[in-house]
Amino acid sequence: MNVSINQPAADAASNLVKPGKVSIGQQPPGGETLVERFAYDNKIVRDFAVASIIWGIIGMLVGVIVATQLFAPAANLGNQYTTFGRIRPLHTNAVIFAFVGNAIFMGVYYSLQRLCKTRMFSDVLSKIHFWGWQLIILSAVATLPLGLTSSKEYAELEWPIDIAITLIWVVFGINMFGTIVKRRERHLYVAIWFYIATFVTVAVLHIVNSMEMPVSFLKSYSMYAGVQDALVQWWYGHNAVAFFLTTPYLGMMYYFLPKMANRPVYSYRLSILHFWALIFLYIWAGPHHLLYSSLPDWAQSLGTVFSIMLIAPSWGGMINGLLTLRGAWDKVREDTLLKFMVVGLTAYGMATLEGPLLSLKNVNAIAHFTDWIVAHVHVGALGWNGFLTFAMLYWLIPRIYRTPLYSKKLLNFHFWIGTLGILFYAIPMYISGFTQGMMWKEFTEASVLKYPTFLETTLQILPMHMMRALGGTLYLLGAILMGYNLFKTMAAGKLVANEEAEAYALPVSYKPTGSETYWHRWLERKPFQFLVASLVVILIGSLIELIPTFMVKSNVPTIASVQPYTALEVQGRDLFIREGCVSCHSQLVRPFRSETERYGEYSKAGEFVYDHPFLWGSKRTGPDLHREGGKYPDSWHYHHMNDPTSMSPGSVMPAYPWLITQQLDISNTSAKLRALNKIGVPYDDLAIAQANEDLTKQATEVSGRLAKEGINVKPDREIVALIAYLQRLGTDIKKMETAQK
Amino acid sequence: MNLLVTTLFDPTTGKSVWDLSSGEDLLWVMVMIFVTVATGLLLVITLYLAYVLRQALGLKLNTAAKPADNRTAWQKWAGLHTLSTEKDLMLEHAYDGIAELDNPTPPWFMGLFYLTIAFGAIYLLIFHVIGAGNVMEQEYNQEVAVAEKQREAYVKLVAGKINENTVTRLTEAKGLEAGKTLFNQYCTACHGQKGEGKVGPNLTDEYWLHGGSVKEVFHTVTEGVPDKGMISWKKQLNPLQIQQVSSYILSLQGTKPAGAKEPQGEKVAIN
Repeated sequence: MNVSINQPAADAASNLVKPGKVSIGQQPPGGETLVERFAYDNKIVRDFAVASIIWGIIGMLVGVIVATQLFAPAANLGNQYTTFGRIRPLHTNAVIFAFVGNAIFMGVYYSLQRLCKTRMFSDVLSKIHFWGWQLIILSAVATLPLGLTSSKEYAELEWPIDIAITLIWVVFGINMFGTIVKRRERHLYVAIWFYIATFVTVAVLHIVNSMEMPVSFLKSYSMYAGVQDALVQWWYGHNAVAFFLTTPYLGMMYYFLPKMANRPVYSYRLSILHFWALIFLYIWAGPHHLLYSSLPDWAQSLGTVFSIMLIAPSWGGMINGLLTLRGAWDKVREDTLLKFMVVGLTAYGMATLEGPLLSLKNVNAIAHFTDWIVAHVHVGALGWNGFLTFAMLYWLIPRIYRTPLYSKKLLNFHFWIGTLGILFYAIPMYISGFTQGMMWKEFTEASVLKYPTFLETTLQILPMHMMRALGGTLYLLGAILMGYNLFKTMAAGKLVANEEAEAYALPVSYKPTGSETYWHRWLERKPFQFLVASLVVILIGSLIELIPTFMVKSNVPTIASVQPYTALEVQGRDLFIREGCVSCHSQLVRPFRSETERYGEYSKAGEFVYDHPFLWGSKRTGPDLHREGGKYPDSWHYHHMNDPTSMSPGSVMPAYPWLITQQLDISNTSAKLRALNKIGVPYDDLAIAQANEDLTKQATEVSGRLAKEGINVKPDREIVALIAYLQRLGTDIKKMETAQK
Repeated sequence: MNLLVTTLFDPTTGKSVWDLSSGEDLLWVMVMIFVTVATGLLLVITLYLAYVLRQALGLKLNTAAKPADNRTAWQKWAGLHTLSTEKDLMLEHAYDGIAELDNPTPPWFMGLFYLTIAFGAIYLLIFHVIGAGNVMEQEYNQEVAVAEKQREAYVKLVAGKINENTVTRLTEAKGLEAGKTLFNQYCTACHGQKGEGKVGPNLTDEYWLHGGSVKEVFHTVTEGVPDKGMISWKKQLNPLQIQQVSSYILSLQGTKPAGAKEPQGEKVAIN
């Protein structure tokens, strides 16, 4: 049996921190101070750890279910609450905000106390933070399957929950800064720099992106429309990756990796450089999610070049981690935790090289809207976030429970099955994404699309989707085994809820000498100046990108024939949002011949000026819908929604029979138009007052047309509103062409 | 040319930098303001540092020579010191037992960083200062123009004489077989597996909404009937293919498939 420092056995208990035996270090210069005794709060760390394990397993399980639905739609159980469109956001929210979120708080609460040599600022705030966050997650679990969603990716939760997130985030911030202020360590370690940048940037991103006009308690419209909404959303979305999935994890890597390997951090100067470069450059990169969209060219180019410039700062974190292991690679061979860390860091390095390459327009032209992107994010999520979280959990739990890990065999097994899971996930998705991307673009020698039917390309990649579900299942299995292993460990030990420690109090007066006079050392002594500096650094890119897109009208060229949606279409659009159609169908025809041939005229910025929120989507599991209006008769849509395979044999789209039976809720039509009017959609008072009369009139027309085609459906059914919306999509611009003729 | 360049290098236009009409112009103005402020700050800092340096030099000249660096070229490039010298690099502070080394940022890493910054600057310069900025539109128009030429050449080659005035009904098996393949691929969704009609009309009876001669069917397939949901196929199918599929449709006459839709339109005798 290999003895490793990360697997404290009973005979290796000297590795464990014993109360009263903490190294209190040197007497800080600047006068005589007393040794102070205090206790670290391990209970809150344990709570977040347990939450992370449980939510992680749930989130991954939902992931496996949605992955299965993509080749076997019947896996949605024929139930409207468990269809792909509704539970895909549940999967992403659960793994990002519940699994990773709780892991961040676990890692921060553990390391911050020790790096500041003090207990958390307030136990009460810690508890509010913990329970508040769990309630937010529960409210997501309760609302998303009901179709209560803002539809903005990774920010789907409705406005009251957004407010709750803000409040809890502030609680976290106060608790963190309170702790930093009462620290017994003069300087802030690099991990804390990353925590500060995380706190301040996530706050800015969340608040700006969540600006919404409420209609009712659980319905709102994004304050921004079309192109502007898209820019804000991806400025947020990309930086959610940067500042929720990356910076806190880099911070935790800087604490846990040297601890696990018992090695000094490779380069302090590299830490400084890559920290500031990373947060400055990252914030600009959002538009690379909108290449070849209706976003102005200049903004797209900024997205491209800043993504390329991100390669080195991102890799700075990876090499600082890997080089910290220099001289400890023999340990990596024996120590499974270090293996997790090495695979995690390597996955981070791969994903952060791939991201910039995907931001080059010619690569993006193939990869965007395909499974390639899904593969890319999962290398990051499963490799970087997942494996680092697992390593931290395996390292932490035995320590705060003062007992060896229950089973090393299971630990080893978890590492290998997890790695295998990542490979089985990513490789098929890369193949699938590349294949489908190329198929969409392929023309025959006769200059016609080789695969004019979208479904052909979908059917081609189904075997890859099956393999992906297998990979996900392997990974999930590993996580379940970890849960078992860790709960057994907890049962065997006893939580040291308050871990005793001691340290010298900081002398009040301090005069830096020697290497402490280095300019960055000054910043490391000043947490609030540090906060302001990070804020300024992230605001530069944000303001330069957002302001011109908002201020200058010509960025959204107005098209005269583009009119607001009718009352019925607004209701239909809200059904489109409720069912999460945007998860699989984009509404953005890119300016490529392969797309204009397939779908019709490419999308113009001016067409989206009344789209609160925008619905461009980010993935095409089904075809683009921006030019769907008028393409098929109403009856086609009726049959297609009732049973997609009746119109497209082999389709993997789920059936939506409830749209035909359910009555449309029109109690809020006027309120919806009024809310939209407040944020700039020109509905006059008459239109708002008569909303339901207009709605009924149009619904009766649609129902009449359906009747002519032999379908009897009452005008008050949901399907009627959805058909009205689909038939309107992208048609305004055609009216203009007709008028010009 | 963007507004900024125009106003700077071509004053004859009489435009001011503040005649902003696009976000790109505003962006450039903001960038210039930012650069100006940053340059000013840099100047202040440089002056201050020069002052500090003069003070320091005035007090004493630092003559302590650095120890000889006898690393290999590879070690220098990689920014690595041998592990045995690690203790000399250890910084004096430590956090919860974590020490940090004073290693340099590796030269290869800095090279990579500068290279990507240069890439960014050149990229923006090419597309947005020298170029006109409307990258996507240019690319698209070019792509379409090239494809249009190819298509014309191809159509001329295989189907040069086929159009709605000259088209004739094919009867040989090869052409009908090709038509059947096309029909199964594109038409069955609306007209049924056997042409019996679903959302679209029945194609096997003698009743036609838009005419039942081969020329009329060719026209309907080519141009579509957008008002009724029949799309135009001329972009996806070439004239030869449309001739094949039209001929196949006409060959379905009188097949009387199960579940046929009721007749629509006028009765036309097909010869």
